[in-house]
Amino acid sequence: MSPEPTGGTMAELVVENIVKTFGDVYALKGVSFSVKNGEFVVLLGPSGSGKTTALRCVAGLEKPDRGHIFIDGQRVNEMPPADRDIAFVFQNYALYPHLTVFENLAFPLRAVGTGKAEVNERVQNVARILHIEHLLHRRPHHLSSGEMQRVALGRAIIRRPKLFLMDEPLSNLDALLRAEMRAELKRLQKDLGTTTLFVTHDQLEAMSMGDRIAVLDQGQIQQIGSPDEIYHRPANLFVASFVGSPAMNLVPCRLAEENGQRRLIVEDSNWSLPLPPEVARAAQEGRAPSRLVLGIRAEDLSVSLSASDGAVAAEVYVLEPLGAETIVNVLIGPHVLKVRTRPTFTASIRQTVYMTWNQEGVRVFDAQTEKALG
Amino acid sequence: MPVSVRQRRPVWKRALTDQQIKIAFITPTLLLLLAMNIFPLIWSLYLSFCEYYADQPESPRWVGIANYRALLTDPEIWHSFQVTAAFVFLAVGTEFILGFGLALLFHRSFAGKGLLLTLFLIPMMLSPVVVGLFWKFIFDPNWGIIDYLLRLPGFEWVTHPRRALWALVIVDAWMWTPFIMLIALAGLSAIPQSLYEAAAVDRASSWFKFRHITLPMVSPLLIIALLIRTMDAAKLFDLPWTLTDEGGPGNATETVSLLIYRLAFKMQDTGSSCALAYILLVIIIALSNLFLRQLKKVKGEL
Repeated sequence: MSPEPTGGTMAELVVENIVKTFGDVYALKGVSFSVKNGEFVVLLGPSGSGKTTALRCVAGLEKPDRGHIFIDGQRVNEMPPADRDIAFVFQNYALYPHLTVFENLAFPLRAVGTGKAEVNERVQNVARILHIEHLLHRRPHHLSSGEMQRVALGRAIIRRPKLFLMDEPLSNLDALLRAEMRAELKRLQKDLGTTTLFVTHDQLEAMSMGDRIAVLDQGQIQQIGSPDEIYHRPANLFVASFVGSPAMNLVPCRLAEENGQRRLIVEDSNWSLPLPPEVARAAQEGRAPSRLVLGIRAEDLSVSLSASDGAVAAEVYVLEPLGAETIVNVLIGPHVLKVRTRPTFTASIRQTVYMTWNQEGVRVFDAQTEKALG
Repeated sequence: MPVSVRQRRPVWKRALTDQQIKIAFITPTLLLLLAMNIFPLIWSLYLSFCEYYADQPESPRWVGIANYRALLTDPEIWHSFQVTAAFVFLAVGTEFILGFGLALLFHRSFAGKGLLLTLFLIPMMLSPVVVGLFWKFIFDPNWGIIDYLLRLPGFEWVTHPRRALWALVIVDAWMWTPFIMLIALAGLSAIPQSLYEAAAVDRASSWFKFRHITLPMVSPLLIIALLIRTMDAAKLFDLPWTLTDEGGPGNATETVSLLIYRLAFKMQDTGSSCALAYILLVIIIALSNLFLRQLKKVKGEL
């Protein structure tokens, strides 16, 4: 897609403490987040987390029971979708099946009585940006899902709205196309500079596309931050286990005295670690909880066939060669840990290997509250 | 081994091959179809070119297109066609407007919707003969409820040469509007809600949504409903048989089907009645083809 200055107006979105119930089911339990001018924010969560409901509230397709939604400082709770100057890309694309691609793209313009010449010009323009010029006379059922997805995007950008709202627009594509569209969509958003709120359950999509990510679970925001923060400093056990592939290794541990030093001992194992600074501080102040969970990413662990100073003996459980890397699953006591290694690493099942770790990558969570310490 | 096991079984216990099962299932239907539909169709086509009276001893005598020529020049026949055409147009038109309108009203949730819908569907489930009979009472000029409610004692419906057709239209619409409504409702429910949501976000007005989403998406089903109703209305027989006493007053409501019946079973003019039946058949086929062309057009296949 070539850079195309369409001059889309920008806007800021602020969502404050919205609550939405369906019957006696709470879909959203007080959700707040904001999207700055030109920013790409991803709402990430598993199915049923309320992310689509939040998006539909912003669009005006659902009305929140409580809370406020502001677009450019104006409260829009009572405003019908048509007046919010937004474009919505639906998960199933919602193309009009009886209309051609041209007519689908022209629909938002014709709906407000745009002149024929302008409709023509803008449709051609959008078709060129999205490389769908050759499809203009086809109907949706003659398109592949990738092509339909482009038409749906086209129908959104032709409006030059203040705000793009996208509900899992890539989820119906096959894996290869999805990876390709991730990059294209991100570039398109940067070129257009339109403020975007994007919903997905795919953490990889969120990581790769979002300027910021808001992780949602059970109708509540779990963490808001840059992809880097979400990945490296998950705020709680849910975020740690949901984001990243493989997910963060999580094992139960406790504080214990060892040779006069306080250390973290992983339950039922021979693995003990020095305290990370925030845990040491908490322990000093006497507010360290008794039951803890240790979290560490697969790339912060490494294994070797030969013993070294400070390494922990572990048993190989299984190897997952992935081409560019190999994930070694090792047993530390009863716990399976995933370790990212170079693809040339080989070992046989039940072989003893020696595991070392990057102390910087150690995160500690309160097992009771599930929140990160520090 | 399996072969010998199979051969030792008695014939009626042996497994049938797929092919044999297919034949066993199809044959009875095929025979029935041949005896009850295909043969009469061909035989009546032959009879339509013959002079033949079913109650006379003479066998059919080939007369070429004489029956057709006689029929097509007979003003009485034209009257029947006019009555039928007027009825089809008025009845199906009324049913369409009311049925689609009701479907749009029913296409939302409200308390008591299920019950109301069931009540609306009842007329469709009644026998036309029964409907004709009790509407005759309803329309009665002396003690019918319609004239009582309209405070028009003695106002004639089914016995009035012009209003008798309107009576037929009213009763047919009462009976078959629910049918159009039901099919239109099915079409409306099949339109994905997300299309309306997309249109709402895209600032489409209610009329624009109706004109550019609802109507085009429901029209294939509406055309099918119209096709079925038109074919059925063009063959109308039972309602005027009971409601207006065999097409009365006089022959004011004598539809083509009633006329065919009169030719065949009252005048025993089998040849002419077969010819008239074939003329009606050709007209109905032509009409349905018009609908089918329109259907293909709205579905984008033409």
